[in-house]
Amino acid sequence: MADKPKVEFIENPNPLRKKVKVEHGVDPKGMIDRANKKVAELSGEFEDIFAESILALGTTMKTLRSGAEDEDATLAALRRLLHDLRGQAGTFGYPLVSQVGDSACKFIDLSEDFGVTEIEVIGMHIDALKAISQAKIKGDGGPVGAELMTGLRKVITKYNERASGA
Amino acid sequence: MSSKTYNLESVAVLVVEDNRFMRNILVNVLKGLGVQHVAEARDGYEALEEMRNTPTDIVIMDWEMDGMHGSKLLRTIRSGKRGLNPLVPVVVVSANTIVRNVLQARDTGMTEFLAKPVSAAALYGRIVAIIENPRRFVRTGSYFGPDRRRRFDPEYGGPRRRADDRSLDDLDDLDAVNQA
Repeated sequence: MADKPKVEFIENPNPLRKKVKVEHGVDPKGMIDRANKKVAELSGEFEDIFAESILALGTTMKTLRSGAEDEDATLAALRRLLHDLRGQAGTFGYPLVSQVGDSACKFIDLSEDFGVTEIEVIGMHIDALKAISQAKIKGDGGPVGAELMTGLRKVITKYNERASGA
Repeated sequence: MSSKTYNLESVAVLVVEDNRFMRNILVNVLKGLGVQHVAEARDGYEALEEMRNTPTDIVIMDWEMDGMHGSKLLRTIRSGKRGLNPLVPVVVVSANTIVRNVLQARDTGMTEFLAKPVSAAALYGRIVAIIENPRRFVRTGSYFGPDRRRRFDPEYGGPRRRADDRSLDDLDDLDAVNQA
C-alpha cells in the first residue's frame, strides 16, 4: 500500500487583522463610492484606449487574414488587445465590450487549430466591437446588445457542433 | 446593510500588473478605499525586489504577464526564498476565468481570485475575506499555500462524497484527493 502524502498545516497568524482598524456603525458604501469616483477619473483615458484598440484590432485582423506575418505572433497580439479590453471596459460602463472580448478570448484559448473558419469567428467579434464603439453603446446595450451576444453565441455553438461532429 | 468598515490606511499593498492603465485602475481603487501605502511593480522581477525591500501586507497581481508569468511569481513568493514572506496574502486578478486558469492560480497558492473587470466593491470584498477568514497554510510534496478547503466542519454528518473520504486523516488536501 502506498504511503499517504505527508501534509503539514501552518496556522495563519493573520497580521493584517491587527493592522486594520474596525469602524463600527460605518457602512463601507461611502468608501466604495469614493473609490468608484477615483476610478471614474480615468474614464477619459479609457475612451482613448478603446478607440485606439479598435483601430489596432482592425489592423491586426487584416494582417491575420492576409497571412503575411507569423500567424502565432499576430494571433497573440490580437488576443492581448482583446484580453486588455475585456479586463478594462466593464469598469468604465462598457460591460458589453467586456462580454464580447471575453467571448473572443475564450474562443481563441479553446481552439486547438486556427484556420480560416476560426479567423472569421474572431472577425465577427471584432466587427461587433467596432459597432459598439461607433454607436457608443454603454451598459449591456439593451435589446441591441442582447441580439449581438445571441448572434455571437449562435456562431460559436454552430462552430462547436461542427467541430465535435467532425 | 453592513454596520462596520475596515479602515485600510495602514495596510501596505503591492500592485503587480504589466499593463500601465490596468495598474492605474487598481491603484486608484485602492487609494479610493483609503489605502495609503500602494507600491507598484510592472513585472514579477520588480515585484520580488519590492517585496524584499519593503514590508507588504497584500499582493494584488495580474496572472497573464509578459516576462515573468503570474504563476512563476506566485510560486517564487510561496517558496519564501531570499527574504520573501511566503504567507503574504495574494489576490490574483485576471480576466481569464476559464476554469483551468483559475485552478492553476489556486493550485499555485493564491489566496483570493478577482475577475476583471474589477470593481471597488469586489476588491474591498476580497480584502475583507482575507481579514475575516484567514486560511491556514498547507504544505504537501507538491503544494504550499492557503488551505484550498475553505470550510472544514468536524460536525459534518452528510454523505462522504470523495473517493478517499475514509477517515478525517484523509481530509487534508486536494492533491491527495486528486491522486486517489
